[in-house]
Amino acid sequence: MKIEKNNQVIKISGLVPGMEISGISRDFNDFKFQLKDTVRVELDLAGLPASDPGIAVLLKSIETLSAEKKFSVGLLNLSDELQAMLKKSGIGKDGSYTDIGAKSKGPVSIFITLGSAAYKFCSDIKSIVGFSGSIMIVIFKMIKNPRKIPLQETLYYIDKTGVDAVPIVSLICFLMGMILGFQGITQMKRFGIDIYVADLVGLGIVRELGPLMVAMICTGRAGSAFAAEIGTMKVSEEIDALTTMGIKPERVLVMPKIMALLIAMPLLTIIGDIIGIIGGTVVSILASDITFSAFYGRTLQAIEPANVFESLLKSIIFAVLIASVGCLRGMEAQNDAKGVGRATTSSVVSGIFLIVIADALVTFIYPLLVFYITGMQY
Amino acid sequence: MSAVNENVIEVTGLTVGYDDYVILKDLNFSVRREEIFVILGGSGCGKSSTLKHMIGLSKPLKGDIRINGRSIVDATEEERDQLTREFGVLYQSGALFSSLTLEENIALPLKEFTDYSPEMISAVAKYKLSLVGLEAFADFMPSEISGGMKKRAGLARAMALDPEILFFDEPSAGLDPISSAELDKLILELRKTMKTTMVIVTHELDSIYSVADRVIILDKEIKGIVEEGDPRYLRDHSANKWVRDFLNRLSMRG
Repeated sequence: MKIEKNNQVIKISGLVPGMEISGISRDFNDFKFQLKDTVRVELDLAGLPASDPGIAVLLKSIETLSAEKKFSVGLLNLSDELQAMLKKSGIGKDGSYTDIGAKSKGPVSIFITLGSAAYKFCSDIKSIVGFSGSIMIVIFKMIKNPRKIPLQETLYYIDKTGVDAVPIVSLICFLMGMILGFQGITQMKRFGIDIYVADLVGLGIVRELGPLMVAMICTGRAGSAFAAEIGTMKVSEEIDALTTMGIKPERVLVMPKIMALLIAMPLLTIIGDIIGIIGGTVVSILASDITFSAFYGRTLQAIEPANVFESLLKSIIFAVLIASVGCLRGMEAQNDAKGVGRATTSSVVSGIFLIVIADALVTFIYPLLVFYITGMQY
Repeated sequence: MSAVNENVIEVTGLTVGYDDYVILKDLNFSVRREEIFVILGGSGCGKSSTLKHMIGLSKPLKGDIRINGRSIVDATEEERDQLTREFGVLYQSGALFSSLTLEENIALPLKEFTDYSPEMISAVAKYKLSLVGLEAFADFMPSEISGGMKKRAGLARAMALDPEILFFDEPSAGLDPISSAELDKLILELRKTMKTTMVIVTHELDSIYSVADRVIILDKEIKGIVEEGDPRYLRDHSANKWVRDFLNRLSMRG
């Protein structure tokens, strides 16, 4: 293959039948090297049979490049058979290779990327608002007609998301309590205030880590399971079947899950809080000279009812977020196998994102709330 | 008793599509009482989308669909719930609820919309299963039965509330010719005994000749109805050569 460059135009000739693809790719690198500021590439295809695989690969590669580097392509001595072959394999628009350069899109502009990201964000918000609205309607209808509350399913999900999660919640909260206690003691020992590790562990676990760890576990266990379950039902047309039966999927599929987490997560959080404090107690007794009774007394002094209430408030908010995001992502799943996978992943990612944001908001607002309601400094 | 020739479903000026992409333009057709009406067309011509509009799952771009004189397009949520009780749908895969047994699947709409006692509901569900020849499988889970059985169970569920109209989305898809013929036989029997109006969306020519009273043929090139009538007559006498070829399996456009 012969490559000549002349005044921003590259001419390729000397193509012979039966070219090895490895040979082409070597010449092709040569060709790419000369491409800078080229506006047109011309290929002489004289004497090439349509059955030649090498030529199709070469033309396809040049077509791809032309879209990227914005040059036009002209073909000389194009036989009818070759043209038919090109048309069949979709190389070149209408078999005329010349106007391929015009199809080029060029690199995607940053504005397009930003714009489509913003659009996706807004349509996400729109679907969340719409979803919350339809949940509200369902809740009002259920209050009007309590016979329609799906109790049986709710109990099932309390069992699955609550009871079954007790071992893992206990283990993780116990370890969190130990970690927190150990980190605290190593620092506080230097100042001789190691008894205050009880405050650190107690408040840290009850106000922050207990509800947060339970929420993380529930996102991974329950939220993803909800998304996968509803997503699969959507793929197998079960959601459509419910809708055309006149049964609202929000009522029979979403509400039981939200109600179940609303009951299960505060209970799990209380368990997690207690076990976390036990973890802190164990490590404090082992790693310093604090006695059990001293730690116990200090913990009771440190934790106030308002702290426990913060723990519960957070867990309730997290429960609503996890269940709704899981179900929403499931409802939005695309109708294919990948769709369910994407829905599951996205339910966990957006679940964690929302939990952290909500956690920050509650952490900052709750002290103000306590102050306004009780007049006490929190 | 209503007249046999009365229109149960009336579709006027229906434009099928998504966002700004039009698949079918300005469809007009009607389905008469107690007839088996087939919507025929190649893959991707929009026949399943048309069905989705007719059962109210998606909103058409333009036009109106009336079932028993009431529009499903402009219906409020309550009206739509009312309307959905007048028809049953058999989905392509059967769409049985995978966490419920066959009997529970059929009992679900009964529990929702009737005040029957649990014994009555179970009896009705078993009776519906016997209509499709599955009474022995009442306690099976959907994952434990074959594809053809799933479709029959889906049909039993669609009939749970004795609807006036049954919609079928590709009933023969994924079935071997024998199961498919059995399903056709079942459809004919049910029409005879239950006097149900049936709307079937399919691309399967075999079943059309055995069940269809009337057929409309959709085409994606002209984005509309090419031909309407009795398929056996159209096969030999249609003025449109493409329709004759299509019905004689000579060509499959799209």
